Amino acid sequence: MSEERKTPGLQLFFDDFMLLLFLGVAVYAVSYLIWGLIEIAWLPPIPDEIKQALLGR
Amino acid sequence: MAVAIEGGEKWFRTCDVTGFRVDVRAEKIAKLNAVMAVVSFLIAVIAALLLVLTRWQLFHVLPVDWYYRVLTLHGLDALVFWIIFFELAALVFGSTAFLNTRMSSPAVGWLGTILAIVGWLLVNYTILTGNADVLMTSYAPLKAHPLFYLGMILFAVGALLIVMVFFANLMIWRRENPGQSLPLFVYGLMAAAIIAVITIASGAIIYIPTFLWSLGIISDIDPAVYKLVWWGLGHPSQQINVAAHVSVWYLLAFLTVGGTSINEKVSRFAFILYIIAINVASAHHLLVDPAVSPVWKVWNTSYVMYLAVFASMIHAFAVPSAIEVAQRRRGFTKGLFEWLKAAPWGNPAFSGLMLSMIIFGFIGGITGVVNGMEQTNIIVHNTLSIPGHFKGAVVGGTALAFMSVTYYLIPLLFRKKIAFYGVSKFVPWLFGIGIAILAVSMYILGAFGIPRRHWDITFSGGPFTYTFNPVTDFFWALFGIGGLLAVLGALIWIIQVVVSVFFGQPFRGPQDLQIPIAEPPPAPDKEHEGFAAPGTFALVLLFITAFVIFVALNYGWLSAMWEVK
Repeated sequence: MSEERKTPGLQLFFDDFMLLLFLGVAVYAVSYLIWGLIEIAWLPPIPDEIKQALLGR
Repeated sequence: MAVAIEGGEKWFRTCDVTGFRVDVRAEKIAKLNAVMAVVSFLIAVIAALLLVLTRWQLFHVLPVDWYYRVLTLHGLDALVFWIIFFELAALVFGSTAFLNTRMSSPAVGWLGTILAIVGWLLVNYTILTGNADVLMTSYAPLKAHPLFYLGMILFAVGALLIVMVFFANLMIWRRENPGQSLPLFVYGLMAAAIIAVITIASGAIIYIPTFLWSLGIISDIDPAVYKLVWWGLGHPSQQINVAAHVSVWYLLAFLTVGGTSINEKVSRFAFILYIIAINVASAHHLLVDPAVSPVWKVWNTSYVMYLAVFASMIHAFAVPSAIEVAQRRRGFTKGLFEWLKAAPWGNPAFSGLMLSMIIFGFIGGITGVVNGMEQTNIIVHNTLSIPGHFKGAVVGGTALAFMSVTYYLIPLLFRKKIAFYGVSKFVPWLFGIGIAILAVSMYILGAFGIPRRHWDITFSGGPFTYTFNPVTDFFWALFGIGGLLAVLGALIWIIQVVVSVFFGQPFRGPQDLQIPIAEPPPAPDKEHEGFAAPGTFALVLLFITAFVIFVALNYGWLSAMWEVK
């Protein structure tokens, strides 16, 4: 019991692979995936005349 | 703390070389995954030979449809199946034998392996039958046969199951060893496993709807969304490799010279930086896409990605310094580099380790940073420089590290003697030098504007034509020579592995060990003062100089591309 209390906080953080898993997933999900998806979702639609011109109609 | 092991000792054998208690159930799963890795590598290498002899216009052997088919085959077998099967073997073996613990769930491990193999079969079958000429990225709206996507999903699910078994193994070890930290090699594998979770989750998010789209259940897939999410799979799958091969570097430094990191805390911190920061680097694949904002691009590439670059530079110092300190303790202290001259260069695992680090750092690493910067990326985007970069990073770095460590796995995992051991010392050089020449020539060809993924750069029969600078002919010849050398090295290695594993003489014990395992170096006589590894420090300065020069050159070339008034 007393041995566990002596483990430095930084080592506890380094050794906690579930916490590291959470951090890895969270940073990627927020910084890359969700932010990127929001930006794509907010894109305005292509104006119809440009779309038709691009499609050659 | 000793804990009674469920099932007693019947599942274990004790390795007569390392003293590890090896769970034989885990060993069988690791062996099958390793065999699948080598089979995938063989397919990838044969495909590579055909691609080299097609892009080199002197030969141009494949017709257009087969070029794209073989390119798809090569991409997936080289960048996904060979590497990930090998990593699955490492995860299973590393989390049991290296921790002296048992496999948490052999049934789930087998299920994962079988699913991955079925997925591998489906993907290779659909490609070879011409039903998936969509290249590795399979960008929507390119559409493959549904079995292709199903194969990718099954492979991903199988791999994910094995990753889950890996974490369960760690939990068992944690329960049996409270308060202890994982050995550095397994710690690196843990980082690779976390990156694998992120990678596979992204794969599932995009491949499941794409599979439904290929069946006609969903009407369309947004190409911008596809590309964003797919690169959450495509690039991080290579970051699993980085974490895994850096772990293998630490392992090889220990096995070949008895070297251990001079500051494990810092090495572990570098792995944490990988976990947190490396996956967002996927953003550099979207640097010229208009759908995402410059803020998103710059944040994910030019800020967060540098934390991962910093981590790689820590490892680039930590592994050679571990070797140097071990060698200096053996008395090789003269000058800056006696430790390096006196290193066991005849050991193929050592020469492979050194070449892997040099090629990964000087070619894959430096070019990767330039490719990842929004400004300089535009010089090489979609040119042959891009595959040139990952020939340096993934083939020279990861594949060579995995090939090197296999010389230990043949006796220790497969319990066989290494066939044709005499040629082993040439294999890393042949493969490494070949890949280095190939990678550099591809990078230079890309700088001349040669596009990637292009069957015929003479544009013969096209409505317009373009003649590249004639100096490219020289680099195409280098490309061919480098490619052929690398293919030759890889084929020799594959023959060695196949003959050893399936037809080789049994390994009876330490007396049959052909490849040496280093004794730990003697303890230092006194507390060291000053630099512990001055030779490595000098090499790192050389690396940083090369890095700065290359980045400066790229900004120079960039300024020449557009006139700024």
